[in-house]
Amino acid sequence: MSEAGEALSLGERISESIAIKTVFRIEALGLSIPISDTVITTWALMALLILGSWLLVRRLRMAPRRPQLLAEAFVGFVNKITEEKLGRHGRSYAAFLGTLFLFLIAANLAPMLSPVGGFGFEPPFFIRPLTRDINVTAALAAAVIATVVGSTFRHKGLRGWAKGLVSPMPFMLPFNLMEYAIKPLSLALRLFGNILGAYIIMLLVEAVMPLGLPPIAGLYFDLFDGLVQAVVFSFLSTIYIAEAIE
Amino acid sequence: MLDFSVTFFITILNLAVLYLALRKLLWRPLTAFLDARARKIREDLEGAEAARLSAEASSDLYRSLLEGAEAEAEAQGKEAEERAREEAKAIVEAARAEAEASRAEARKAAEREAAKAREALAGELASLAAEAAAILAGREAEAADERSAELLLRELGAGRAR
Amino acid sequence: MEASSAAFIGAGIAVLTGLGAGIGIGLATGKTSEAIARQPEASGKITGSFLLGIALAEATAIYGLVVALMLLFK
Repeated sequence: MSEAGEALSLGERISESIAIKTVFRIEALGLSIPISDTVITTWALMALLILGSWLLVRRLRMAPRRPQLLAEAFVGFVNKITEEKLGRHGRSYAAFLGTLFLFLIAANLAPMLSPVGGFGFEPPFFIRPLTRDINVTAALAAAVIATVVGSTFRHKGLRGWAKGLVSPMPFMLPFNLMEYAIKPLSLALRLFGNILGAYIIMLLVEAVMPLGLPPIAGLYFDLFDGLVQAVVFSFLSTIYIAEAIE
Repeated sequence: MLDFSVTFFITILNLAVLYLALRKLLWRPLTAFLDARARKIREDLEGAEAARLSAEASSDLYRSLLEGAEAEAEAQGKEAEERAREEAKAIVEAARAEAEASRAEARKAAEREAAKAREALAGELASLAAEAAAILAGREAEAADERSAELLLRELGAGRAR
Repeated sequence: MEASSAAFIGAGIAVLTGLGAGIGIGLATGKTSEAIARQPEASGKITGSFLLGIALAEATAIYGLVVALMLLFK
């Protein structure tokens, strides 16, 4: 938000906040690839997660200290849940679901790191929720549904997949096919709508009362909602994969 | 707002990279580490269990040995007591028999003495009677009153004292 | 009527989908409380299916919200 933001109406300011900006373009192979701010935030989060896990796992101790304890608890938790839901195949999907969960937690909680995104002043860095971009959530959902389809082929084979499509009765075929579209659509739209809605509500709260209220409301709209959506997305992905391979 | 953009493909690429990197850097080493630690803890527990079992077995052995020794010692003690009691009984018996024998001997000796004394007394009485008869016969002429009887008795006593 | 005014009215109508989601989530929460009160030891499994249920029930409200946002901020 620049100084020009002062002159804008509330609706225009919200429009500007939720818009995806193209930061720069990569000119390669005759193509001009626009790099949006959400992609840059994604890269920053990726760098953080990869560097963090490299530093953490470099020296593992038998008697863990606090950061290692946290990582152990997270990995152990994801391994336990995936084994519970997916049975003996759980281990091969634990890394994927754990990555998804970790990335979603980071993506949904990163905006809390930036100072109150009020109007009229520009913090040193300004992280807007990257899941406000439908392309990001759609990519996540596409990755999940690709994993679901791939796991069906892997564990049941082509014939098993075809047989699953016409079960319990042949006329269910269109509905079974529609599931492959509805599942990712609902995953993507749920995450996108929740995060964007919470972001807009936070912008409104900041416009109404810039001092005092935003941190309290942020506890619910940013922290709680962000965590719940990360959990729901990963949980639904786990269940979809479990349905596919059982 | 719902515009499709190339961000979709970039994000899928990003996600793939993140997945591969985290699987290599975080998931595999940490899962292997957790499994290794769980295995080590299980092995340690099993080792402790085995040690406890063997300790229990050897303590059982010692206890049975100790019980055997105790029983033996008790048996020996009982035997010794029995023997001592028998010996004591035998000694007492022997002592009693000896005492009985000596008492019987003593009684016999006493009887013998008594018989001898009675014999002697009887002999003396006979001689006394004969003497008294001689004295009576000698003094028959003299008056036989009370004084003379008294005198007779005194003479008798003197004769005896002699 | 201007197109933007119609869009505002449409956004208001779209957000009414929250009604159904509210009823659905309320029912789910009430039943979950009952279930946990009846069987506290199964609270983990109940909470899992509760989360799944409210995520599905919430989806309708989210679709309404997305439509409203599309109408408001094109």
